[in-house]
Amino acid sequence: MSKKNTLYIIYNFKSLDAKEARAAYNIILMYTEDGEVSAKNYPDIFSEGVLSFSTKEELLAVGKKALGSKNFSHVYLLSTDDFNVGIETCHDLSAFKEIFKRYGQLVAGDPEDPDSNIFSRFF
Amino acid sequence: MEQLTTPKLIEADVVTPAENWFLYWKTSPSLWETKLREYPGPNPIFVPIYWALHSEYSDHYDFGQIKPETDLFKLIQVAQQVGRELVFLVQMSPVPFLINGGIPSYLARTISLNKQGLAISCLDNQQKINRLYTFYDPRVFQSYRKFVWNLGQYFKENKIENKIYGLDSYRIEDDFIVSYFMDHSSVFENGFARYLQQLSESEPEKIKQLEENALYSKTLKKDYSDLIGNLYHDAVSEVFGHKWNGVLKTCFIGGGSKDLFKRSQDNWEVEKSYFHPLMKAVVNGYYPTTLLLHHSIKNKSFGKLLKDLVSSAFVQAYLNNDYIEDELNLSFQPMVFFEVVDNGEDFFNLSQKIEDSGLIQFFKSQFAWSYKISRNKKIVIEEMSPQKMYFFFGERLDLSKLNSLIKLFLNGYKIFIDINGLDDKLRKRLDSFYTENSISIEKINYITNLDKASLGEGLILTYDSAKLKESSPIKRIGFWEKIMKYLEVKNLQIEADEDVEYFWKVRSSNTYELNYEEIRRVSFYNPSSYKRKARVVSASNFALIKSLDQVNAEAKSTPIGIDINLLPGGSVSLDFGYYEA
Repeated sequence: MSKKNTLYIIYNFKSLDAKEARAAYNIILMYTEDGEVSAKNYPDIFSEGVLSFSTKEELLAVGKKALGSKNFSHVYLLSTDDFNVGIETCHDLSAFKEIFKRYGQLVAGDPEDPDSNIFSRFF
Repeated sequence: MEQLTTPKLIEADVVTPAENWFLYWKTSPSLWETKLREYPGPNPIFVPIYWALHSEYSDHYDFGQIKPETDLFKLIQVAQQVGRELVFLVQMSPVPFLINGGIPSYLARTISLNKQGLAISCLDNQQKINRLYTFYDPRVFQSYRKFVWNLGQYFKENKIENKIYGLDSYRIEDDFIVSYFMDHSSVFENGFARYLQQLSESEPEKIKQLEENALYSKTLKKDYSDLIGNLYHDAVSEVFGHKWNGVLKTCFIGGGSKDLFKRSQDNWEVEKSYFHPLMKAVVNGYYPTTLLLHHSIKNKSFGKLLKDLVSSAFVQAYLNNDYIEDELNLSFQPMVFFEVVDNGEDFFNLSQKIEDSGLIQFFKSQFAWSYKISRNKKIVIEEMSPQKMYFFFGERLDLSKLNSLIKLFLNGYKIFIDINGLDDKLRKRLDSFYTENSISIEKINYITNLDKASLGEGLILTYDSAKLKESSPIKRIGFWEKIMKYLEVKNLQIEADEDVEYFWKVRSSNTYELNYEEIRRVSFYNPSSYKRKARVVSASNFALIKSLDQVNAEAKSTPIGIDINLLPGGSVSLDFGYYEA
């Protein structure tokens, strides 16, 4: 069985029209431990390579699709705002490696994986 | 037998972590002499001055009075004793290798953001995270001005005569070279809003233009950024007078926002990924440094490329801002056939322009890394070479610049002008120049209308990138191939496996090589984990002189050319003599 990686997604939020409350959630970087992930390589997850979404729910749905695609064992989402808060507390590489876990959102996990078990994260 | 002395750390040394950089605060002053004596890199040695080290508190400055490692005068004396030349660098933007970008912690209030809103932060060679803080905060500027004034006084009182450069720091983001000075934080935006307010009174036409075209804000933001940048430049250059030697535009390899994520993943950070950023920095005229990279990534072929490239001759040539200084002619320098010049003031998408015309694709396929992209605002004939071909853009020319190009042409220089966007008056000026001087024009219609004017060695060739853009990428490359063949631009062709990197350098021939016009050296590197091959295809006007620096590599002469086999991490250089037929 091939090894599955964790997918890390960083996105930003841009208000497009304050009056009409239009906004965009844009994915600015996706990667796994093996390198950058291109939407083009996963057409079943990112239809037509779209990386911009109108709501957070749509973005989350893409994260869930990525998880359901069996290509990734875990999917983390991290906004630039949360990254910017998190980076203030990182002084070295080991702390930086935890930034997704501490400040990001774990979309879901394999129930058999102890790392993804909610109890194992606190106890 | 057990080793009794402390093992020497050369590349891994924290005081001299890369190329010719010396970080004096990383060790005790009692070890400066040893470190400088044993320093293995090129000369002169760059010594960045660490602002926060010398000014921990507001209006407090320490140059050896409290902390011995701040005693720059002692450092200079030690360097003189061991015969080392030190060049001091004063930061003019946040720097990625220092905590808080080098500014004192009491000023570190707002982190700079990149255009996507991500805090600008870097991983240094000791795996520490440095966050970079904005230089658009008025308090930062006020403190900076006071600091450089005190530094200047210190240099004056101690009669320090070492050269000083401004350190302007850059990184590569998504294939673009971006200044660490640029910022998109609220502090920048607030300052920009105040700038617009001022403009509405002083230059209302600009505000009107902004209202009509939202994209014009890019130009105005650049204007505002330049305005603030000039304040820092003036503050430091005025203090140091004749010791001030200008600005060292330095590109930190591995310092981009994406690099931070890349370097946090062992499988993602590979040696090969740094070859192109390094070469991109060189081609674009930036001084490259690997100061941020861990020594382990520089052990194999990438380290060899660094040693081959960043030599003393390269550093000297860069500081003199001229690759063809007489005294440097006999040292190998990066080979540059073509120079693409963006000499305008406001926002201009140069990358797009050279892609539209197929130029960049042509350079990459036929003359890899043997071109230069310069952004000199003025056309200075003394800094140009009649051996190179220069590319200018109609959109960026005014009458004075066009007159400079005509002067270059009359002096035997080879000039290409993209007439797309060239003002009609300037077209007429060019036509009347040809008529008045009875210069005949050769007109060729091939994909675009080409007008070729020649006078002795001088050449002006005009083309239209808009027409080229309409053709396929292959046709565009073919177009430039034909032009260069017609102009007899000669270089050896390389056929290499995808993973193989190569790089050309050139020097004048010496008294023992009078059969040749010049000596061209090509160096091959294999950063992959597999055996790789390359071939230099034989051509007239070139003769192989020797192969050298073979590391896990072999070069064999065949009837077709020189075949090279490279083992993982292997590298080899070949010298060719170039002669006129």
